[in-house]
Amino acid sequence: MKQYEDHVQMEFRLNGETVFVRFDVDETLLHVVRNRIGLKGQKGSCLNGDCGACTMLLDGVPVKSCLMLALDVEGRDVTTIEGLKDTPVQQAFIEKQGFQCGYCTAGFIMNAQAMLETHPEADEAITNNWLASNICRCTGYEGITEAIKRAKELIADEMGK
Amino acid sequence: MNKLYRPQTFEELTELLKDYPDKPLFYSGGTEIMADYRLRKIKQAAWIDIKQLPGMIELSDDTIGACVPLNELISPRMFYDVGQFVADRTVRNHLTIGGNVCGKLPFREAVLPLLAMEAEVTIFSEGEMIRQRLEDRFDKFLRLEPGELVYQFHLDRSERPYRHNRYTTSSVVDYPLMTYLAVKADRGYFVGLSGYGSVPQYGWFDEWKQDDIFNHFQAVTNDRGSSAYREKLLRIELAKGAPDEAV
Ligand SMILES: Cc1cc2nc3c(=O)[nH]c(=O)nc-3n(C[C@H](O)[C@H](O)[C@H](O)COP(=O)(O)OP(=O)(O)OC[C@H]3O[C@@H](n4cnc5c(N)ncnc54)[C@H](O)[C@@H]3O)c2cc1C
Ligand code: FES
Ligand code: FES
Repeated sequence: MKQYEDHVQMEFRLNGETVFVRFDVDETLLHVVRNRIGLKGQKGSCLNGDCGACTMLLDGVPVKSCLMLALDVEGRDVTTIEGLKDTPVQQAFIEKQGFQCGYCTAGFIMNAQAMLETHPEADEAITNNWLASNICRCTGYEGITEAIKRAKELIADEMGK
Repeated sequence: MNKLYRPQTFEELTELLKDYPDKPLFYSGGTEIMADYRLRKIKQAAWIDIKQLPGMIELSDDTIGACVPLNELISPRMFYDVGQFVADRTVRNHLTIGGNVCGKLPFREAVLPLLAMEAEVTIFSEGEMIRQRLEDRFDKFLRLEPGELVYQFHLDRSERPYRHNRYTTSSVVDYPLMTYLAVKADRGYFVGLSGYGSVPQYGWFDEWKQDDIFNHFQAVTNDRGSSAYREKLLRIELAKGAPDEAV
């Protein structure tokens, strides 16, 4: 049986690279990525599943990394904002100023990225359903909505539509 | 917590439970456990991750493994309708049906469609699998002895006429002030509520008599709303008619 005690080590893929990391058995994925590996893009805020600032992609699916043991990702693929390289979603957030203080931005972008990968033409209902998982304390929702619209255009352009 | 076990077979789990006769903590989606752990509400030093046990993520026409995430439950339609309001979409990618039914929070909304569909549950208990009607085990909470594990739910997924509505105090993503599910089945009318009282409540009724149904339920007053307000909401939903009446 697999068992893990006190200080553990684990291998997983982070932003396309295999990483090997040591941590305490009860650490969350968010904690390990930020404090053991040093990628600070995804933020911790509520640490209670409410705000979405910590959203990462696990095998391409958004999860709240504050509510998950790091050990849950052993052998799996994790993507954080550092793993996105100038994607249409990132470009659109810059163009449309989809942020104010920026604390929530990486979480919104990861969720939007996953949404538009599965639904490149996401309508309002799909967008609301997905992005209701994230909260912007600065209430910059208008800019975020505009950024999502723009990202869809950029993706459609890329796909030659 | 300083130990996490990941049994790969039920034989391994049986052996492991012998070492922890009191209360092993089963770790599934972790969304409730991790929130409680941060607040130091969880005392168990050893946790058992149950997601790699065989059959726990099985999803077929008539079986739902206890570790299936809520977002994967899209049929019958009432499952989707109720499930899509539990927490938020991102959380539902790892929040599991078994965790929701076994959780300690008062809401446990996913139990409503399971009860309405007269689901059966298989429970792993002292080395054996016991299959029984969910409602025989569900009385305010799923009644589990220490060490008992919910393995799978079994149900007939054919569509049935239903009405569903969900009220919150603020945004769509919020715990329910009242989740209402009314279903017409061969057995009669099912009405189930979450958020209305301090635990999920439900009843089966031979006829759609609004007063009889209304009187079956007890509303609670808490910081989300008063019992009077909840009663008003229930009256509104019941007045919309039986689930098999044309809308
Ligand atoms: C942000 C947020 C919003 C939420 N909103 C809602 C809501 O609107 N409505 C609602 O109903 N709930 C809501 N919840 C609560 C949520 O339903 C529970 O946290 C969740 O259902 C637990 O599922 P899990 O798989 O994450 O369970 P875990 O956290 O892994 O476990 C929860 C409990 O169940 C036990 N358990 C898990 N699986 C089994 C099993 N197979 N057999 C025996 N015991 C088991 C665990 O030991 C633990 O005690 C919300 C939670 C969060 C974080
Ligand atoms: S920090 Fe994870 S949801 Fe808020
Ligand atoms: S930009 Fe400040 S929290 Fe969203």
